[in-house]
Amino acid sequence: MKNIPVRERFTSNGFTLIELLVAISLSSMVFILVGSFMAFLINRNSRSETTELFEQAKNDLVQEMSNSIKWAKNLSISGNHVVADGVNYTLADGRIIKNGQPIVPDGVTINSFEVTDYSVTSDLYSLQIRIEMQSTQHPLSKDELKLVVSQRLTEVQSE
Amino acid sequence: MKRNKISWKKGGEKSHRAFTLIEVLVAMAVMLIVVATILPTVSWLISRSAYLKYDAQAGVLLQEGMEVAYNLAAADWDNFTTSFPDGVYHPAVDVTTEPNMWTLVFGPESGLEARFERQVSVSPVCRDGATGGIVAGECGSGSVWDSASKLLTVSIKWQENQSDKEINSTLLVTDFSR
Repeated sequence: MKNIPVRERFTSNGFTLIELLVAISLSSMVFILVGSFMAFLINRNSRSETTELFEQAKNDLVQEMSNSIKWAKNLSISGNHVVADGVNYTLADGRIIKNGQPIVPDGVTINSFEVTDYSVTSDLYSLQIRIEMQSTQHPLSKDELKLVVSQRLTEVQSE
Repeated sequence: MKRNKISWKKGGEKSHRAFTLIEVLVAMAVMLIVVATILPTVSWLISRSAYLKYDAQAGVLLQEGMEVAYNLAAADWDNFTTSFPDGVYHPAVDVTTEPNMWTLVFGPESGLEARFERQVSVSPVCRDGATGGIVAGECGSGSVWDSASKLLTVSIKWQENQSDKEINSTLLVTDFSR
C-alpha cells in the first residue's frame, strides 16, 4: 500500500457513493414492491380462508336446520331453543349445539342465534333464524346468516 | 488487477463487469411486465371467491322467498288465492298483525343485500281435461284451469362482473283440504 501513489489509491475500482446510493434505492424499490405484493397475497389468503370457513359454517347450518325443521312433525321454539322431533338446537359457548354436539366448524364463533316465528297459522311453523358469527382467529371478520324455513304439511286430513 | 475501470479478474475466470443503470432499468421493466401479466390472474381468482359468496347469498334469498310463499299457501288456501291473485310479489313481514306474520307485497323487490332483486310469481295451472297432467302454454280446448293448484316461482337476479345472473325455483302447490 505504501508504494501506491495517493492519486491512484483513491481512484481504485470500488463503487462510488452515488453508485451505492442508486443501487440501494433501486434494490429497496424492488424489495418494497415484492414485499407489499407478498403481504397483499398473504392477507388475501387469510381473508379467503375466513370467507371459506364462514361459507362452510353457513352451508352446514342451512342444510341441517332446513331439513330438520321442514320435515318435523312436532316443533317447538322458545327464545333461542328450537326442538324439532326431539332434536334440540341451541346456542352455548359460541357454538350451535345439536343434542349436545356442536354443528359449526372450529374457528367460527356464534354470537347470536335468534329465532322469530312469522307463521301464518299455528299449525305450520315458519321460522326466521338469524345467526351472527365471527372468526375466532380474526374477530373483526363477521358474517350473518338469515334463513327462513317453513314446516311442511306432511299429514292431510280428509274432511 | 486493472485499476482504470470497474472490472476484475479472479483466478482463471472470465472478467465480469458490474451492471449499468440501463441494464438494471431494463431488468426492472421486464420484471414489471411479468408481474403485470400475473396480477390479472390473481385478481380473477380473488373476484371468483367473491362471486361464490354471491351464489350462496342468492340461494338463501331464494329459499326465503319460497318458504314464505309456501307457508302462506299451505296455511290457508282460500285466503291465499283470494289475497294473492296471479301476479308478481315479494315476501315481507306484516307488522299490523300481532304476532307479526309473513305476507306477500305486490311487485318485485330490489336492493337486497345491496345487490339482489327478488320476485315471487303466483301463476295458474292448466291441466289436461282427460289425464290431469299439467299443460304448458295456452290453456286451449280439452284443458282446464285448475283452481286447486298454483305454481310458485321465485327468481333472484343480480349483476356480476357486468353480466346478469339469475337463479329460479318453482314449486307446485295444491289445495289438500279438498
